[in-house]
Amino acid sequence: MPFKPAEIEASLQGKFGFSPAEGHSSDHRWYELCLPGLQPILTMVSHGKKEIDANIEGKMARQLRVRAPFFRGMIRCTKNRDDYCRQVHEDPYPPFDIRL
Amino acid sequence: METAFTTATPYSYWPTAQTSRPHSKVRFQLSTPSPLLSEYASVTPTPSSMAQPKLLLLGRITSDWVMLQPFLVTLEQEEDGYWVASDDLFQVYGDGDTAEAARQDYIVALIDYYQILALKAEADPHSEGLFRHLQHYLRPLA
Repeated sequence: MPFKPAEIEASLQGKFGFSPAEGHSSDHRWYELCLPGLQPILTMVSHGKKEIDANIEGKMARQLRVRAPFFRGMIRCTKNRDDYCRQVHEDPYPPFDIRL
Repeated sequence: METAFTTATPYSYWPTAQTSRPHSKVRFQLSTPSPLLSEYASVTPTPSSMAQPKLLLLGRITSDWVMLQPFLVTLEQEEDGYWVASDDLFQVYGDGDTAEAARQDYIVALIDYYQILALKAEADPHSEGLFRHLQHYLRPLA
């Protein structure tokens, strides 16, 4: 069953410590999370549709550096913040391939 | 920066939004850009675009922003006809009821992304590195 945007936003902020990103001017809703040693993780929650379908779900998962099943686990509460931090440190997907 | 302006093509290839099935072949036609984008858009399909359309952004993308080098954006149409535009480098996406709406939304999202990183870059070296990389592609016209 597709997730609603508000459901994803609540989960990202409440469970995973994301905060609304400041500094942008449009009506897009961006959230950010900074983890030690990693590039900032930024994700945008689309409000173009009432429900987030599989394709956009996949785009968000990539922004969060996890695979789609893991992302669904995050929203369905089978993955917690520790699981997420471990995942993006050990096996980010896609990798943080922009070497800084 | 001036080179990017001069290499931007004054016309646009644009996928027709008349495909009957999602993810099916998308026909391209040489068309006049929409009024909203006509002043800024430089859109060219890549050879693989018949399978999964890719747009090439280059030059002025809005009145205030410019793509400094060619940048590929993938266009996908969902089963319900909705369109999603995304890239594989910065993982930015945009969506809309039409291909053009998705493209416009993508550009707004990319500019958002730039502005968010610009603020963070001042205090965080990881953000700064990512921001500098983004600046190789996107810059405001100031």
